[in-house]
Amino acid sequence: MSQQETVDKPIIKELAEYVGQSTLETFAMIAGEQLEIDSESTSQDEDCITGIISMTGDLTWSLLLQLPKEVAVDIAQKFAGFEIPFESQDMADVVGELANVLSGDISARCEAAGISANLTLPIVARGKDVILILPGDVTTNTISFALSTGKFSITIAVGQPFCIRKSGG
Amino acid sequence: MKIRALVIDDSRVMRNMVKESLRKTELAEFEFDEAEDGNDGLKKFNPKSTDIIFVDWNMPNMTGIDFVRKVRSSHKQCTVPIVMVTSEKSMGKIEEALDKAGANAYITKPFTVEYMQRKLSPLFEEISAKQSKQTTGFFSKLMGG
Repeated sequence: MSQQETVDKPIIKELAEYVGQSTLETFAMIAGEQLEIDSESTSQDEDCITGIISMTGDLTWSLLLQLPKEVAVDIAQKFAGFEIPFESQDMADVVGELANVLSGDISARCEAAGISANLTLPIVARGKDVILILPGDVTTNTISFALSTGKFSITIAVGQPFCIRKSGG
Repeated sequence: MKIRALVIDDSRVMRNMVKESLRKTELAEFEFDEAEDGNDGLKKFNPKSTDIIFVDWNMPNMTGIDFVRKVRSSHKQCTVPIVMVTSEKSMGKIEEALDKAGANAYITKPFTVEYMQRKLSPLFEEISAKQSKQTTGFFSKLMGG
């Protein structure tokens, strides 16, 4: 086992657990239905909208909420209470806000575990095959979720400084 | 009761959601002013006509928490209630807003109309009492009392 694996795996695992719990609870509240963690990854070949939030503090990490068009339109309507076209600025607003709501919930769980995290403003990107170019010293983990309208995914990317702090106790 | 509320959020959708939810609470008859960030909020805030402020935390230019600090430090006599409406859920942030900065209530997103109604009822009772007192004072002065 390499040094990188020894240091990174528990942190990414801990965060992935928070992300899973937060997403299940938050989206269930918004969508009004129970969703499931899906073992299969989402398709990269359809129109998507992606909300990205970064966190700074003890932990440097980013969250990418990637919603295919059909899921985005459905969840946006349930969140806002009115229909929102996929191509509109309002859709970008909602997806940024959804990423923000999720990140807020996750950062509260982190704080309860003794890890401070400050949220940055969301960035929203659209298109097929949206890939975030990350520096080499980050570890990523993608979790897929299934709603009745389709699947969506959340990727977390964790930077090194926090890993160093944790390994040092 | 008529209420003039200032809603500050960088997301137009969120401003509309806050406004619509407030109308549905039926706690008052609302008129709204809107601002896109803390700086814009300071420009739109009028201590004489604004009855209550709803402000997001994370915004460009000036954050919601800085807006609260600014209002509380520059208008020391002003008792206009400020409600944070935010995704920030950690205890540290809630304490910072309510105990240190001077916000009066804290609503976390996503919210329901019922949740908003429950959190805001005490504040609206205070606003109603304040408005009644002002009206009584006005008529008392008019009658030479």
